[in-house]
Amino acid sequence: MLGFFLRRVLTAIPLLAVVSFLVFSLILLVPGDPAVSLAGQNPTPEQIAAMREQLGLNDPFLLRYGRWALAAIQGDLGRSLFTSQTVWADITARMPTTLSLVALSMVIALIIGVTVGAVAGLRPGTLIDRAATVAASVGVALPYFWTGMLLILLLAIKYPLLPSVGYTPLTEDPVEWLRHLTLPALALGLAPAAIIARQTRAALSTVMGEDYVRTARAKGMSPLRIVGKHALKNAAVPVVTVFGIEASRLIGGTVVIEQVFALPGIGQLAYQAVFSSDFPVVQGVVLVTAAMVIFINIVVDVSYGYFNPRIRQS
Amino acid sequence: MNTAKTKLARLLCGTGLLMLGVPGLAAAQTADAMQACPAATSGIDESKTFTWMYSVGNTSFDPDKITTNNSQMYLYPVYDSLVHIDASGAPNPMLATSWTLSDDGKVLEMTLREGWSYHDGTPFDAASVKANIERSKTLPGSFNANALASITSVEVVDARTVRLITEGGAGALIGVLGGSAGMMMSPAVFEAEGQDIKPTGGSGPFRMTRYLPGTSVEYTAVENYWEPDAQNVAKMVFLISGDDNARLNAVTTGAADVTFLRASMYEPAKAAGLTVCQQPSLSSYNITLNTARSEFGDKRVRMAMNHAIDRSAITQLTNGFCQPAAQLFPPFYYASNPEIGGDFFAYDPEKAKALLAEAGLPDGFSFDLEVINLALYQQIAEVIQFYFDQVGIKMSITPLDIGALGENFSVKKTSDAELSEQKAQSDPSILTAAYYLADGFENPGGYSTDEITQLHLDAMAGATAEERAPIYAKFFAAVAEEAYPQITLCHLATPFAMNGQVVGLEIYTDGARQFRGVGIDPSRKK
Repeated sequence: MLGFFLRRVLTAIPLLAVVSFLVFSLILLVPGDPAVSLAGQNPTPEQIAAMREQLGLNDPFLLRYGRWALAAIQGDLGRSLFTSQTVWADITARMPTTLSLVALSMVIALIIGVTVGAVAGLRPGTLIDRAATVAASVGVALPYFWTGMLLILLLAIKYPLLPSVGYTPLTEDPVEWLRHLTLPALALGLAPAAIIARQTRAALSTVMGEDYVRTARAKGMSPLRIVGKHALKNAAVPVVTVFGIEASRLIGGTVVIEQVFALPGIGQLAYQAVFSSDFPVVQGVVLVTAAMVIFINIVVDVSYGYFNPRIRQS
Repeated sequence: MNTAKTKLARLLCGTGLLMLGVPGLAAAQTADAMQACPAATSGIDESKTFTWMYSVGNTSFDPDKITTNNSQMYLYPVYDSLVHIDASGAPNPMLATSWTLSDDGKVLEMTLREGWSYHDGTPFDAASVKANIERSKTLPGSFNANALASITSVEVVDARTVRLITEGGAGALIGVLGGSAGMMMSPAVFEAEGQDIKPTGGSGPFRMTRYLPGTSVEYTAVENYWEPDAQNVAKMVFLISGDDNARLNAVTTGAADVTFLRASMYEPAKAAGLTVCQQPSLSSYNITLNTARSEFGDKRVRMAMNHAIDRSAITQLTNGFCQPAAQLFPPFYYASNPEIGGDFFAYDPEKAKALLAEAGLPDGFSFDLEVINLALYQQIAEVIQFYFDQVGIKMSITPLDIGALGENFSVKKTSDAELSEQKAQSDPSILTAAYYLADGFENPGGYSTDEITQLHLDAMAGATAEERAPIYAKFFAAVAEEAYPQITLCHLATPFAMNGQVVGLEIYTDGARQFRGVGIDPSRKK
């Protein structure tokens, strides 16, 4: 298992290199010269040229990429063009917000998704199953921002139960942390909950028809034990796969949700950096996000071995 | 309703913003009459925190290292300037208590405030003023270098007196020194690390005590500030969100006290029961032309374009937040010509056609307009496109990122024309130089006249608004006479939404978001 994990980590390195190179290349296509914005008020052509030189924008593309990559390997992602903050400081300051949001969203998605999916999967064809299937279909179609705005209207403005904007760190006040994250996590977690529910229902209804389930029933095992010990575990592989995919998508979804709820996370940082052509920040955020997605995929791959020993042995 | 107006009605309704009527058939829909915000009361609780929410963050807490005008908003609490530009746009004493201009208009002598120190304990004196101005002029990449370029030397007369010597006119410096170029920072921290994120050498009513870039800034009041009435709260917090709804929701739910409104947020803010107040501003929407391209070098063509547009349609499109205009600054501002109202270039398509024919273009001509890729700008461009089409001018529209817009127009000089919002600067001479001088940043075609250049210089030398006003009146008369390649469409109002307990807030006409004297009165209904 350790060897498998290490091999996956090693294959992630060239993947990150490719991602960073692609992003660096894409940035060339972004219109607008940051030197114009940085050269002061109503700059002269000479001031703009000097700023370009200072930023190294006149250097060949490969040289610039090589310089950036070399520094990145040493843990230096550069500085924001506009705030002079190090990119690493910007990202680490905001990472707890985004991780909190994604984690809470996934918890919500798992609880709702697995519960609804299991209830429907154990009673295929019943009214409960159909209702759950319809609810899941609606949930899949809900855009994050729209869900977020509805939740704000309902639970922050009409019934002022929860805050609509802002964030309190977990270390400062756990209750306020939860209060501030509940609405955005719900907005972000409902769509993956629907997808997980569908996947759980399909996998569980298939597993419940397997021979070993019938045998377990014949042996007099309780239904709860059959589902809890055998069926759910065997139905988990496709669910975990979906969970991994959805976790990766949620990281992307934070860009929108952090705007709607004014949360100081890396999604908001990415949004601001793209709109101000703050290339080092864009590059840093994409690299860190890509690393997170790769890490989640590795965790998902490793978890297959737990749920299905045949994968581990192979 | 004739065919053209029917088409326009469809166009405007299609934008989703205007469903109120058709220009020319109904009176222009206007926002409620300009309303001042609630004045300061005796019930202010000075232990309270005031929270403001804005759309973009700060770029530095070092006045010379900022890269955007908006960043100045975050510096005002920390740094006092030599001059204070008040809410009406008039210069007032601040760290300079008085000033005089030499007879030739080239030397500005300022008397400085006594008994005041920087936050790090360094005394505020003439030597520190000299050090600040010299740094602003010479620091590589200084945001303020161009604004102070006319200063050739700074003389310390005595501890309380400083003399600024210029090549041209020194009068314009009075306004310039009301912005970031005049903000005073302790020379002891010039070289200190981290001043751009943790300023310790401020000179204003607050210290910055907490900062999460792009998210929030917290300020705490300093003790014994020289103007106690400007400091009515214990703390100020500036929150940042680029999402209009999130800002409005923040004020509605009490997470913030005040935010600014875009036109589309005005009715929702009133419906939510918030206090909405507004003031006319110096900002405007303009189409700027490159006279080296298309047919814009011909005055008759530019005149025709001015007469082809019904500016009241833009007013309708913006729900009344942009009033028709024909000069860069509104008539209430001293740097304007009060005779040039929004109807100066009357909407007259027949006259426009005649002027085009006179210019040898009876069938019109075509050009491309570059606009910011935000919905409202594109909707305005579509309305202009409609009117130009009525007189035979075929205008294509290219939406662009704001960075690319300025670069194409002013640096590469590859675009025919741009549509953008022009915000005010601390002194009108900064914008008149940018738009109307041959080497101006916003004048890629280099169009100018000797008369206008001279009037610009004369206005720079004026000591007071009263002295400069008649010069600017002549200046803008000459600009209008020439149909300068900068078509002002309308002047914007600045609306704020706030809860009922906020008092003493002033909306600055120059767009500076300053909160001197703002307070919270808990006895008022929130």
